[in-house]
Amino acid sequence: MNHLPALIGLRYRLIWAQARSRSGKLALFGVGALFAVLAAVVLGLGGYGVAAVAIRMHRVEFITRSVFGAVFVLAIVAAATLGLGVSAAFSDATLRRYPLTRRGRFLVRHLAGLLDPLWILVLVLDLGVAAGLAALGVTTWTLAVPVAVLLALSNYTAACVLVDLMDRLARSPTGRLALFALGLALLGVSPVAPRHGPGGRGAPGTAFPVLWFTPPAAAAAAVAGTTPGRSLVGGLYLAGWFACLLAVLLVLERRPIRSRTVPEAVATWNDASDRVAALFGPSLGPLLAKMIRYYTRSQHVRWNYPVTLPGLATVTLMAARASGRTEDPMAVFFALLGGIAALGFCANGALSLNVFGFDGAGFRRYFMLPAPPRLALLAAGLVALAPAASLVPVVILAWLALAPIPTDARMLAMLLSSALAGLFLYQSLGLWASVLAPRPIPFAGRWGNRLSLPAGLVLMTGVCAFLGLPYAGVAFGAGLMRAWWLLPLAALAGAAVFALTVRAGGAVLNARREQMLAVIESKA
Amino acid sequence: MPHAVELTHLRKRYGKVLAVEDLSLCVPAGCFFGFLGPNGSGKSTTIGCVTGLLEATSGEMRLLGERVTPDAVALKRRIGVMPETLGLFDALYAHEFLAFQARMFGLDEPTARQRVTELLEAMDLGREGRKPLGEFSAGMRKRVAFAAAIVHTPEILFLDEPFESIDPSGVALMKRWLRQVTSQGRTVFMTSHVLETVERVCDRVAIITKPGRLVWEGDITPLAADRPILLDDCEFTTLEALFLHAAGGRDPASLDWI
Repeated sequence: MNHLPALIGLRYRLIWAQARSRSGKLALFGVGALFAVLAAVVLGLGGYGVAAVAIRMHRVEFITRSVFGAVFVLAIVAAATLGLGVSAAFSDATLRRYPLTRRGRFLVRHLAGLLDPLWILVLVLDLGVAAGLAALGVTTWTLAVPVAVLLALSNYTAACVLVDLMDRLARSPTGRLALFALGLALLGVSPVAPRHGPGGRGAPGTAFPVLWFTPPAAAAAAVAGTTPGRSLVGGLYLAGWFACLLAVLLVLERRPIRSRTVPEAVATWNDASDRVAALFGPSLGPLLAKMIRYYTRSQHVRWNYPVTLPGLATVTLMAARASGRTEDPMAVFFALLGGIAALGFCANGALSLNVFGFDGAGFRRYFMLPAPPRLALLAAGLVALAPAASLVPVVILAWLALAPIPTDARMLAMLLSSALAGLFLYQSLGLWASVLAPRPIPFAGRWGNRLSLPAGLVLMTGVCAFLGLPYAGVAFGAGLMRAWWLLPLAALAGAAVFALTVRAGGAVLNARREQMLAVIESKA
Repeated sequence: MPHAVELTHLRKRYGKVLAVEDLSLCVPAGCFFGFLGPNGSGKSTTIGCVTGLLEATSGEMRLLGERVTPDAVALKRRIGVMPETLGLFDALYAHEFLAFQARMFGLDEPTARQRVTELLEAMDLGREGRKPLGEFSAGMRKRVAFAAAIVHTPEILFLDEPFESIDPSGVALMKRWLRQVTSQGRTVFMTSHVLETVERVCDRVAIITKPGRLVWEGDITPLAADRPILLDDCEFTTLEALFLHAAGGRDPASLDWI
C-alpha cells in the first residue's frame, strides 16, 4: 500500500494536466465553484436544513431517505455518463506495471477511484445530512458518521457494478436489447410512479415498496428510524448491501470482458455503406462510407438511436399531461411539435459533437488525401443528419396512425418543419464544436463523457431542449398554430445555417489543422 | 529530369518553437533516400511539410518539379505517405481502410478490391477479416499503414520509421518491395533509427540535427562496398559512426547504479 499516495498524487496530476487547457480551466473553475457552493450549502445549511424540515414535518425518515436516494442515483448517473471516479481511475492493466499483487491492485484502484472529486462530494453530501440529524438529536454521532461513510462506499461500489454490467450487456445485440427494455421501463415508470404511491404526487419513493430496501432507504432507517430495532435493521441492511455489492464487484473483475472479435470471418466488399456512399461521387463517396461506418459502429449511436423514439413519446406525453389539459388532444400535438425539434440531438449523442476527435491519429489522413479537407467536414455533416432524419418519417407516420385528432396538411408541415429546424441547427452546432473544440476520445469507449467544454455545453443544451421543448410546445403551440408559417421559415433558416456551417467550417478546419492535430493526437 | 524532392530554405515554427531551420535538400528521382536525425530533430515535421500536412513557415518545397501547397490535390495523388503516427481509422477493418485509401486515390472499385486483397494476403493480414484496426498489434498496424501508402503505386513514397516494430519476415518483404519501387525509377524517402538497415538499403542519406539543420548529405553506397566515407578529415566505415560524428553523439553519462 506504499504506492497509494504516489498513485493518487499521479491521478490528481493527470486531472490537473487535463484541466490546463483553456476550456479545461473554465471547466475546472465551474466545477470548483459548484463544488464549493454545494459543500457549503450541504454542510452549512443542508444538513441542518434537511434535519429541521424533516423534524418539523414529522417525516424524518422519509425526507432523509429522499435526500440519500437522490444523491445515490445522481452519483451513479454522473459516474456512468461523465466518467468520474469509476471509469477515469486507473485500470487494472495500467497498474500491472507496478509491483502490486492482485489484491493490492484492486485496493489501490478503488481507493484512487473513491478519492476522486465526485465521490468526495458524495461523502460530503451524505455526511452533511447525517451530521445535521446528529446535531439536532435525531441520532447519535457514533451512528451517523459510520452510516454516511458506509452509504458513500455502497454508492461507489454500486456505480462500479452497474457500469461494468452495462458495459458487458452493451457488447451484444441481446444485451443492448435488454438495456433498451430496461431504459424503456425506467422511462415508463418515471412519469407514472408518483401517481401510484400512497402519498400521491408528493411522495416519490413510496411508489414501490421494494425501494424501501435499497441502500439509501436502509441508511435513512439506520439514522432516522423511529425505533432502535428499525435503526438496527436499517444498519444491517446497509452493511449487507455493501458486502453483496463488493462481492459482485470482485466476481465481475475476476471475469474480464471478452472481445467479440471474429478473426476468421471473411471480409465483405461493397456493402450497404459503400453502395449508398457511391451515389455521391468518387471524392465524397469514400469519405461518406467511412463516416457511415463510424456512425453505425459507434456505441454512442447504437445506444442513443433506439431510445430516441420511446424517449420522445415519454416526454411528449409527460408534457401534455403536465399542462393539465389532458382533455385537449391538441396538447399532445403541441408537445410533439416541441419534442420533434429535439430529435436531431437525441439520435447521435456525443459522436456528432466530436466527429474528428473519435478518429484519433486517423484525423491527419484527411489532410494527406488528394481531396480538399472540407469534404471531410461535408461528409461528417451529411452523415450526422441521417440518423435523426430517418426517425422523422417514423414519428410523423406514428402520429398519423395514433393521433387522437384529425391531422391536416398544415399540421404535418409544422411537424416536419420543426424537426428539420432542430436537426439542422443542432448538427450545425455539433460541427462547430467538432472543429473548434475537439477532444481525443477512444472510439471503442462506451461510458463517460470526455467531451470538451463547448461540446459539453452543446450536449447540455440538447438535453435541456429534449426535456424542455415539449413543455414550450404546449405553452406556445396555440400561438404557433396561428403563425404556422414561422416553422417552415425556421427550417429554411436552419438549412441555411447548416450550409454556411459546412462551407465556413471547412475553411476553419483547414486553417486550424495544426492545432487540431496537436489536440487530437494528444500533443497539446 | 526534375528532382523527386527539392527543399529550399525550409523553415517551420510551432509558435515559439523552431522545428526546422533553413533546410535545403535535393533528392534525385529513383533514389532510396535515408533522412536521419536524433529524436526531435524535425524529421517528421519536414515530412509533414513536404507532403502538405503542415504549412511551412517559409521556404519552398517541390515534389516532382511541382510546388507543394496544402491544396495541391493533384500532387498528393502522386505520393504515398506512411506517417509516424500511422493515421489509421481504428473503427474500420483493414480491408475497408485500404479500400477507402485506394478509392480516395482514384483507383476504380475492381482494381482497389484486387490490390487490397493481394496486399492483405502478402502482408499476412488476410485472416484478420472482421477485426477493427484498433485491436491490431503495433506491427500489424504498421503493415496496414505501409500497405495504405503503396496501394495506389505512388511516384514518391514517404515512410516515417517504417521498419520499427515489424517482425523480420515483414521487414524483408517491405525491403524487397521498396527496392522494386526504386528499380522502377520511383523514389523512397525514409526516416529510420535503425542505421544498419538504412546502410543496407539506402543510396543517399541526409543527417539533420535539432532544430532541423542539415549537417551532412551524401552518397553512402561506398559503405556497402567496404569503402570508407570521408568527413572532417576522418574516415568512417559504418553509417553509425558517421551519424554519431555528424550529429554530435553525446558522451555517455556514468551512472554507477545501473
